[in-house]
Amino acid sequence: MSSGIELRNVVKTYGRGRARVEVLNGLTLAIAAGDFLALMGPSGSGKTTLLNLIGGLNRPDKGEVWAAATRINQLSGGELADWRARHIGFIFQFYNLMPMLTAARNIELPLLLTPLGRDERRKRIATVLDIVGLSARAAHKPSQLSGGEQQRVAIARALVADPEILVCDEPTGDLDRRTADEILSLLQLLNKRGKTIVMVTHDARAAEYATHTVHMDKGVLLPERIAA
Amino acid sequence: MLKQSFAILEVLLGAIGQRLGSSLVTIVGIAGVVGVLVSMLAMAQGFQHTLVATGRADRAIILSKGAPNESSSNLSHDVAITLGDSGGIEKGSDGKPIVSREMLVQLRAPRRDGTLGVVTVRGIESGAIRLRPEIRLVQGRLFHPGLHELIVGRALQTQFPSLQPGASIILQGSPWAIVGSFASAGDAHESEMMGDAAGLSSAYHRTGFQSVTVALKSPAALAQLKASLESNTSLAAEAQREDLYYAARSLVIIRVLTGIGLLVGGIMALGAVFASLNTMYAAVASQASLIATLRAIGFNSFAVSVAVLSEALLLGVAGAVLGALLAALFFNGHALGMASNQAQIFYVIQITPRLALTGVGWALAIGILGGLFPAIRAARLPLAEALRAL
Amino acid sequence: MKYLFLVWSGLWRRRTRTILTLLSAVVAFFLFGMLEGVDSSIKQLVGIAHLDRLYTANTALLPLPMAYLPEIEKMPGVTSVTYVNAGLGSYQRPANQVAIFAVDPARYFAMIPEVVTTGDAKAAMLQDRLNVVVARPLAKKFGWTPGSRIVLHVPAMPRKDGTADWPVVIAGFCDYTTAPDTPVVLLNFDYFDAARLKDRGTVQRFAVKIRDPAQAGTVSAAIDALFVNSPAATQTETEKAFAQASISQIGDIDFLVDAIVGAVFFTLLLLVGNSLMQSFRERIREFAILKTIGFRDGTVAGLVIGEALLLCGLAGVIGLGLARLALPGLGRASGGLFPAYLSASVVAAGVGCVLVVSFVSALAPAWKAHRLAIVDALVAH
Repeated sequence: MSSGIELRNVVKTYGRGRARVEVLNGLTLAIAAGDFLALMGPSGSGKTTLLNLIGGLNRPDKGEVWAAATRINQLSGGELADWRARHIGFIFQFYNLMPMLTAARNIELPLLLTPLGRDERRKRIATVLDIVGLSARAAHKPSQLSGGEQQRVAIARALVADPEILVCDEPTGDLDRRTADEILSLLQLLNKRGKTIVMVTHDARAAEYATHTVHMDKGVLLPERIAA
Repeated sequence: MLKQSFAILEVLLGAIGQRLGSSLVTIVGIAGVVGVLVSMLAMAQGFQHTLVATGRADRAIILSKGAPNESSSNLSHDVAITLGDSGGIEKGSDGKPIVSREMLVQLRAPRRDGTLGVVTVRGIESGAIRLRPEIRLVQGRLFHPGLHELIVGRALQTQFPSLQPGASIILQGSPWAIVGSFASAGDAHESEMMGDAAGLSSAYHRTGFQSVTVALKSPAALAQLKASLESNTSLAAEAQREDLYYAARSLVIIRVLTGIGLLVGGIMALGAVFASLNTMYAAVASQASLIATLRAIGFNSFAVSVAVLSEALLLGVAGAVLGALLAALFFNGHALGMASNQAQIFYVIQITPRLALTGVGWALAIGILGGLFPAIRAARLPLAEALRAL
Repeated sequence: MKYLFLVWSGLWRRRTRTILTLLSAVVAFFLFGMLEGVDSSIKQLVGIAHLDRLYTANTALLPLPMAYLPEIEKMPGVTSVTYVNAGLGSYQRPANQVAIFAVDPARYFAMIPEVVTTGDAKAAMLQDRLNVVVARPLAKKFGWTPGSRIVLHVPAMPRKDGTADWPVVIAGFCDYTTAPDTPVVLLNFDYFDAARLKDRGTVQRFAVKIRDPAQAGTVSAAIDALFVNSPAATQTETEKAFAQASISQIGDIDFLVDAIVGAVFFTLLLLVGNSLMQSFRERIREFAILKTIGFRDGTVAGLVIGEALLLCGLAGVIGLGLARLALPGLGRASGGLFPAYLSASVVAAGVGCVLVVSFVSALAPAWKAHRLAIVDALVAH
């Protein structure tokens, strides 16, 4: 529990009255720190909902969520935002970069929430750009970057504030095979450096890059299959 | 082609719910322009009408030489009498020249809104009534010469609560009774009070008059009168046609008011054009796929442009109507005091249909300027791109 | 201010819309600056009235005998008296308007501190009656230098010789500090009186300086009482009342200006508000992303408000800047009818308007940004 992720008896319902849908009903899951977990399942299985709970984007109706040594299901909106800023980095299927900002500025966004000064911010940005191999593209806007490059900028943005946990929602869903492999290798590298990664994917080949895989269907975890 | 445009316009307007915010903003913006423009022009026009109505071509006003206006003119008693013998002056059935010798004093009185207004009191003799047939009593009676009595002009009555028939005011320490009110064909004299010249002169210890107004044998007889005055320099007087005199007095103010109205209206119109452009560009952008589909089906590009332009014009007209209505609501019947001749002329603003039409004209111009480029863009939308957005 | 680039980038998502909105706002602030500038300039003319100065005039603007002067000066509470005859004239062409003030140089400059000139110029006027002192901007406009001989045509001041042409010599310059653009020409009254066609020995009005402003009412009444039974009765009032009466003659300017400015800013509010709302709706996803990164609700709302402030602030600076440049031109064009410049109070009011328009127009979109639920936004958009 110290620096891993744990969900205990989590219930998440959407809608009201007759339109109520119980997406998660008493789900329990433990993810060790430093783990690279692939979360798979058909659409509607609740995997995105689970991801949102882990990332602190949502609160469960019942149950507890622990991540980065904090019980986050009881935090207020503002506290949750601060917690996310420090401990979570998000990576989305469609990159979600700000179209009017350069790569460097996009990456800078999480750092605006820290007390770091301008020079320190610049140094960190340069560092992560180097890690993702895009130092030459710092001044480019997303429209000038390929899909793979945009995703790498997104990863850099997710990294720059040095969070313990990276949450990825179909990170290679929009990429061709080769680029997907590059991105997944990068994620693997980051995992080896100590980041805990939770990745939702429908691609079995992507799951091969993870250390563990978990399957879900209809809001329930299916028996684990551990990737070798 | 017109049928096509109507059809397209109908479709566009049907989907206006999405663009309601922007469209309303444009309408309000144009309403503002039209409202302000119409109000200011009405101010200028009301003033002009009042002054143009004053004075006639067959009358001349004689002032002392070099006096810029009646208030600053000073004609001695003897000179004023002698002036009646000048050439060009019409004589009455009694053989005497039809002249009116008049003097002016000013007083201050509180207006309806509390501020102090300047009131002109005109001292007249019996000749004035003969000279000015347009003056007629509305309430009460004419003042008796030799008594401390006054009559008050209609426009003053509405503006000054203390100046009503039956009331009395203090002039030079003694009370004067207001015994009646008069109308004067809606001209500047309705913003004056009138009393007996001899009585007023005595009260203010004055001799002489400010002006002598005469009836001309004909408008052309003015030349005769002028020549007659030129030849007798001891009179030190000059004559002008009465209507031209009043028109010239108001010229500066009318120019200023009209100028300001056009300037402010013009600047606001510029802002409205920007707002209209914004709305129409957004309209075209949001309806891009719709427009592309229509064109792909076979609707004429030109018809599309006309439809877009028509929407802009419709917004303009709606704005104009709103603006004119607001102007009428706020300003119609609003009383105003405008400076003239170091006195104040009071009149009522009227928002006339002609003014409203001017407003519509401006609104249409704004609509065209705001709709033209977007309309062209709508006709030129690259079809493939727009359809893909579907 | 590290958030500046983020706020700035938000504005330029849709360049055309932002530019058009900006232009509309610039127009609004320009109009504000011009109208309020004129309005406050005129009000200033009343405001700067000297509390210790009275004007004595005939009740119907006919001339007063100069002989009144020693009588007025003797009155208790009066420190000094001078007189002025003013008339509009022109130089070479009717369009080149000048305002002639026939004054007594010995007393005038001492009593009227807002007209400032050099000791030499004053002495020159006393030395030779033909010498005049002119407003500096006027001299610059026509290229007059000390020693220039010019002729001024003043129909309001007809001369014995049948003309209205007054030959004079430029002796020096003055600065009319409260109304710098007024085309003032100070003429020696004795010269004027000797050559004028009529009303010799009379003045248009007296300016009276009193010892104690609180006594203005008493002294005024006393002066008028002196002459109440004379051929030319007087009406004495404070400069402020005199100015107010003159201003009130120009009509309900204040009301008009406020009405127009109100209408313009109301429309601007709607315009900017609408623009911001549209912009917000198009960027819901981006706001959601910021929240996932860890931006608080309040911060995101603050970004929206920041955009409004930036847009309106920029428009305010440009609009008021343009007004500042245009106003003196307007003042000149009106022939010094009103001195027009952008006063500090109008600028302050402009800043206030920027703030009000920004906050009010940003209210709805900022609130929505605050309440934005990340998950719903990411799914729907």
